[in-house]
Amino acid sequence: MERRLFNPREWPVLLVVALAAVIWLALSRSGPGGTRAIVERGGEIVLSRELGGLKATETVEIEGENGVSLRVELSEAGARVSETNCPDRTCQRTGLIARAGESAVCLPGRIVLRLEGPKTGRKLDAETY
Amino acid sequence: MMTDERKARLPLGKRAILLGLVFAMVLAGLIIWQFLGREREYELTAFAMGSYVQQTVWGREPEPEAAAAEAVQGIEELEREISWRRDGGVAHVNSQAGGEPVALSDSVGELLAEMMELCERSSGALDITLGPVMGLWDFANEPRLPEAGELAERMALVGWQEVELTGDSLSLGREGMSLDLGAIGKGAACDMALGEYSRSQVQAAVIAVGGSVGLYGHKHGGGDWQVGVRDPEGSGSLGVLSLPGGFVSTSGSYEKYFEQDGKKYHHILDPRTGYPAESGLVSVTVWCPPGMDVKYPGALSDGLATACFVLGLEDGMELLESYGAEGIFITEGGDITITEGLEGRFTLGEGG
Repeated sequence: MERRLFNPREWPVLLVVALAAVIWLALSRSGPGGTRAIVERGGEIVLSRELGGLKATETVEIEGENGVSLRVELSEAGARVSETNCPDRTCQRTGLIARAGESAVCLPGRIVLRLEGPKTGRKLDAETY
Repeated sequence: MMTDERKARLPLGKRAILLGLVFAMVLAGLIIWQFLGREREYELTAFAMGSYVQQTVWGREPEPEAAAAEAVQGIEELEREISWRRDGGVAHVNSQAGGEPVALSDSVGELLAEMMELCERSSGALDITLGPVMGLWDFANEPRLPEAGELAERMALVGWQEVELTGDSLSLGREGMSLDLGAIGKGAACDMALGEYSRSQVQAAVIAVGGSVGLYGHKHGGGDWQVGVRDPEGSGSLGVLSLPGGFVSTSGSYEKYFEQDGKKYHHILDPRTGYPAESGLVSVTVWCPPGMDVKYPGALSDGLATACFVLGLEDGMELLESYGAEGIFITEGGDITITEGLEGRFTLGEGG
């Protein structure tokens, strides 16, 4: 004798369960949509800004250690250190960083500007310089 | 014949149980997959070895966090041992120059032995006794162009051949000589970190100490590690290296320099002249692939990058080949040369 587990009217319930599972999986696997600029001072995150939604270039002044201060420019295209009073200006010379995983580091001021991307998709694991 | 649909079904109670069971199993499976069975990604940043240290470690809790912390601690201990600025082995050696040998730890002794070999094989393009001259240029604080006379005096105190290394006991031939391991410190720190990872249960990890990179295990999610190579012209990455593992270091004249009387002086000194190397290169990136027959492939990649920068394109390529290492050479004119082993692994200006 043939025995069915479910009535055809019950399939939608199963479908909803399966669909919910798939959506949850998809959401949990992908991170936030776009690239974020992170500024760290002495290891602490002092600024975190989503670059995707920026309409115009945003400028932020950051006070670092040892009297070093610098100006960070954030835009949809990426982030850069546009000005600093630091004598070696390594961070400023790094120029525009645009890809998740890239960073501009000011050692004297212990400030790091870096880009973070979504967990999925292409990004740099590290940078050599 | 039982054609009636209603009669074919299980009783209502059993169907409800089955439905609930399916639902519960799906949910339980997801929870297990999501929270228990999955590797965690842990990031830790710190300042050590005079550099910004970035780690990303994958593994099951609590391994990644513990391994990353151990790695930072290991790097700090290594820095104390090998930095002339600190009070460990190398500082002691320098203070005893021209006198009695100083006993070093086994690992530092082995590290120095391998670096001494590189000094020799590079014909002195890397010289770990460049301390007196580096001190004169003072790139870390207030860099200046030295007078020819004082430079000649300091140059007389440079010479890796006068380092006496027996086992883990080391002495410098004359008073005034000093070791400076700045050219290999960041790479050696990567070695230290990978040593910690291999002693732990972590699955994979990437560490960057300044611009030196160590890659451990198989990348989470499969595929090769993606390592950006900094553009000497200063606009983020020039291109991307896809690597299965190993160590990467770069020496570039763009990293640190000063200008005096309209001339640029960068920080990579030619130990044979005492002046910034003029080999026609602006940047050399070296990859020491996994499986090289050395104990400190990270330090080697760092030292090779410096030596190759000083040697120039042709001699540099030859040196890399003799070690089985690979590299990217960028000339002042912007020409890029890669070694055979990196063909298909380096992509210009990808992504963005």
